Amino acid sequence: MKIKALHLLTIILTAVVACLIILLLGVTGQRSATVQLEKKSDNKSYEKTLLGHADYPSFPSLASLSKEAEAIFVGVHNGETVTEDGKIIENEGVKPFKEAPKTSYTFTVTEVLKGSLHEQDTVKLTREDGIQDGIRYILEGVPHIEKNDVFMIFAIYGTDSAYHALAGNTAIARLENAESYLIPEGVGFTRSEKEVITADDVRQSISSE
Amino acid sequence: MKTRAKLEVMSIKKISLALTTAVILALVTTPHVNAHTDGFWLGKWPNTPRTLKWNYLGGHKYLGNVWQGAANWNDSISTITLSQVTSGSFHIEVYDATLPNETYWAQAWTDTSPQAASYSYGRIKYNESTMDQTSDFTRTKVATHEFGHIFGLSHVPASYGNNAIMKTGVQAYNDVQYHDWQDFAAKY
Repeated sequence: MKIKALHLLTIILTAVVACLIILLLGVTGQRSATVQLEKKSDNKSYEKTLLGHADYPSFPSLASLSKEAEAIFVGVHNGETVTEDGKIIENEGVKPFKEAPKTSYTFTVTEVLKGSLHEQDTVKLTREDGIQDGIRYILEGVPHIEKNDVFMIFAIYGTDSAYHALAGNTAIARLENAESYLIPEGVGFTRSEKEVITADDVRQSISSE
Repeated sequence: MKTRAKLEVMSIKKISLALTTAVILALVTTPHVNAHTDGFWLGKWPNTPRTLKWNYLGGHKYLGNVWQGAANWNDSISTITLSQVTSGSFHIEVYDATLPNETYWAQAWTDTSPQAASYSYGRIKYNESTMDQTSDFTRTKVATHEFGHIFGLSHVPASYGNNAIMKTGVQAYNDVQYHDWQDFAAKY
């Protein structure tokens, strides 16, 4: 009887210890994924990250995305970024606050698929993210941009002489391999639409308009 | 020799049983992580307050839509209530901005981060430049969607088969769907 109870106790203790180890590994794994994301950012230091979310006109297909874009081009980020502090919002009767900063990422154009740009042009892609007052601001579903990253960009040309990616800044497709670009989930493609596209796919979608 | 083999079999059985129990326990006790978080832990509101006051400051151009967006959630959930105030303290600040270069309708920010999982404030900004170009129906969809973010819900991919207000873009509905209710219920 005593031996059986001892066996049971051993099983329970082993289960609890193993459970703790599994939970610990799981939690650590999730944290390290986040930390890795933070380390990938600019050299500026920050204490925490705020994640913003947007709602925006999305695009069920490459054809609809290409139609809406004023410019479609492939560019390589040359590492130059300029971050401006966010606007101070002063609503009556409440404490003013600073909005998310704006960051311009400079790209060298390597291929033009739509619009008036030329190869080797230098353009700015601007969006609301970046580091300000020790806080890093990022937007859900918007791809991170690092030096030498190659993107296919679907954008409008703004009154600020910068390009702004469609679909709430998500319409930038990262070069995955040789000629394939990955369309971010946030753009809104339906299940029947290809998520990995090529420049030829874009040309075809433009010519079929 | 036979006894030793018997003991080894018993040990293996014990270890197997313990590991199975551990996996089950770990699965049951692991905190819910939203499936669409890009590796981030989205936060949530603490147990108190459970009435979240929102104040639409400034020009409140889309007040009717925002009011309806709040009502859509109040009709669907019971653990948190959204309540409009026009003075005094509040949890959610709503305001408008004219942003002709931005391609979004609205943005929602909360004070969460990997380091802080408990919200204390939320802010929703409507972009008049794009909101004015869309229908009244979709404006209410946007307002309902943004309150979803304030609760800590993230986007549902367009490729997901069922309806969800947390999908981006124009939809054929503008109120809370079953999938949203499920995501909310998993959090609160």
